[in-house]
Amino acid sequence: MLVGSPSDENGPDGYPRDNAAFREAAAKVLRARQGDAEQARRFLRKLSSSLQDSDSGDK
Amino acid sequence: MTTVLDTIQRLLPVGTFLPDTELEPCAVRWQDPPLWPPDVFAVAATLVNVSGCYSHASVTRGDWCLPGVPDAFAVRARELGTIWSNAPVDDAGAFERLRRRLKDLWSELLAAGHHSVVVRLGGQLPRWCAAALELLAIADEASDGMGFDYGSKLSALLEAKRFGDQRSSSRRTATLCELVPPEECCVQPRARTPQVGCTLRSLSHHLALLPPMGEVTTRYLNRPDAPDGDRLNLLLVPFPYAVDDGVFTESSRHAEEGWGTFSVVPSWLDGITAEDLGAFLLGLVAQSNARLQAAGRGELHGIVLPELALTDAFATRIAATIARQTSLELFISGVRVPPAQEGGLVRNTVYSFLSLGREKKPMSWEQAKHHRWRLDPSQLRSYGSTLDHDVRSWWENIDVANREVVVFAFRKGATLTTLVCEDLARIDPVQHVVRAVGPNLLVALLMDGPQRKDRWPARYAAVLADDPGTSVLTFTCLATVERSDRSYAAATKTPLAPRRAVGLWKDEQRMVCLEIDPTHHALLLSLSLEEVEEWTMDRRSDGGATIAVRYVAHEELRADTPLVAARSAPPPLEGPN
Repeated sequence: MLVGSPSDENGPDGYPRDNAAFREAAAKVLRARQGDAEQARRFLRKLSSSLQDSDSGDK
Repeated sequence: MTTVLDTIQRLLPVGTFLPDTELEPCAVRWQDPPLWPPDVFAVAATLVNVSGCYSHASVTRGDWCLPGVPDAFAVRARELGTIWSNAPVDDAGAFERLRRRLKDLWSELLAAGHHSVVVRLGGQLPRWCAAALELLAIADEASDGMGFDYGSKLSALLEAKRFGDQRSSSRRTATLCELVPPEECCVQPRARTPQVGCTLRSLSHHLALLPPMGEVTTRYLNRPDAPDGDRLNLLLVPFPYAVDDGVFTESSRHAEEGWGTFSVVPSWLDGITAEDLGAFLLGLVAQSNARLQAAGRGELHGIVLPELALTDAFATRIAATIARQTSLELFISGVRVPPAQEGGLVRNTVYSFLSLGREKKPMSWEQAKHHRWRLDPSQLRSYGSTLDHDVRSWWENIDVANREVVVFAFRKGATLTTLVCEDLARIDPVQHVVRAVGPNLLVALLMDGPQRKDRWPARYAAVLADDPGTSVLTFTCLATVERSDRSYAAATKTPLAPRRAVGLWKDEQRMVCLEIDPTHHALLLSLSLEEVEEWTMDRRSDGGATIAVRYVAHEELRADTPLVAARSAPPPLEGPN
């Protein structure tokens, strides 16, 4: 196994660019929490449209 | 005069909603609050900070919202924050309570849009200040779990953004905000809340307001599958054990002005290979695990080496060895990194490698030192350096640009950050960041004299243990402690003490000097991760979810097979010379 220095291994955000173990662990988390993330998206969309609708109603 | 509205518009230059440019022309609006709690926090915390309203008597008394109903504010902030973070799409009542309160509070800010952000605080807290304080608290509660890979629906959305987006951008891990540009300010997760003093930091459990990323970039990284665990066992290897007189070499000199620059030459690595050092460390790991198992204290989790112990070539090869042959979570070492381009300066950095499983390539990150070491004649004498003692100041010849502080969530609910030597003592800009994000554990790597309770590292460690409550490990190499102790014994004509103080532990309960017999090679430090309850100044509890890292025990280890190079071996114990 070859390990490079962080400046070689990581993208500008500090996470590994091409690390299979990291990708695998991240994908596992994403799969496990996909439902939660989608629910959060729906909730924020609903909040957004509700806030904007209330502005229209105020007028 | 800077008004409330000026501040809102400066922090939210594209308005409070991201425009959907595919559907409609860009329309910038500020009528409604932002949807993402860290954006709300950035605005509210900035207003609270610049107005100083967190110090109003009604806030510090804890009754500023509804006199006679002391818990109403805290209960409401927690309830609304929980609704936001758990995103109950089908609970119309909860949704409406959150929507209405956010809208009302934001409207209070807009109604006071023409007011100066600087207010003379009298008997009555201005309504917009009360609104900003409550928005801050609700956004803080809504961010519980963010950055720690557990908990709320919103934290799951953050994970999706961090790990699902393939575009790597420097800004992505520099702030949690989506609408507030990191050139204005940044927001990151935080782990500890100060239980003393009265500052903006006293008002949040989960989020920290930070300087713009150009001043210092606070990079918050989390491991996708951060483990649980209430123990942390660290192997502290005070390498190098010996250095020669020429360890500090002259780089330049301005004799007429009394100063020069020096470089640290890692000559202690001459004559040994990364494989030698890797095998030496593996032996110490095996011995540590045997001791820990015998004592019923679990297994070893990490290795720490001091400032500049390794070169980058050594560090990466040793990291590969550790990842291949052990199950350790962490490897932290001071590393000398050559200039990135011709004519540049070397960097004095911390490399940290985090295992993603045995036989798997680890994640790694680095953080360069922010401040140059200045050697004065008394230190030159103490270390027996060959640099010219008639020069008043010798400055470390390193690159200190592009400052970053990396905060890493290494366990569920627990963060770690590192500092290099001088950075522990210098207030700006790093100390402000460390206090704001409140890491659970700070490891400071040094090339310094003894880590006694009466020396400078102990003073600064105690400050951080006090506010924000961070536990601090300072750790130096045996070589410079040995030289310093011998010089002191010779100068004072006192016997050389039998042990060397290569480390110091400070948590909120105790300060422990970590000493080693110089014929030994490492210390095994056992820590516990304990849940404690913390409170914000506006009377919100974290429910006992904060992790405090505390000292349990330490012991000395002697390697079965010493390193081969003579200069890397511990020196024989002698009297003063």
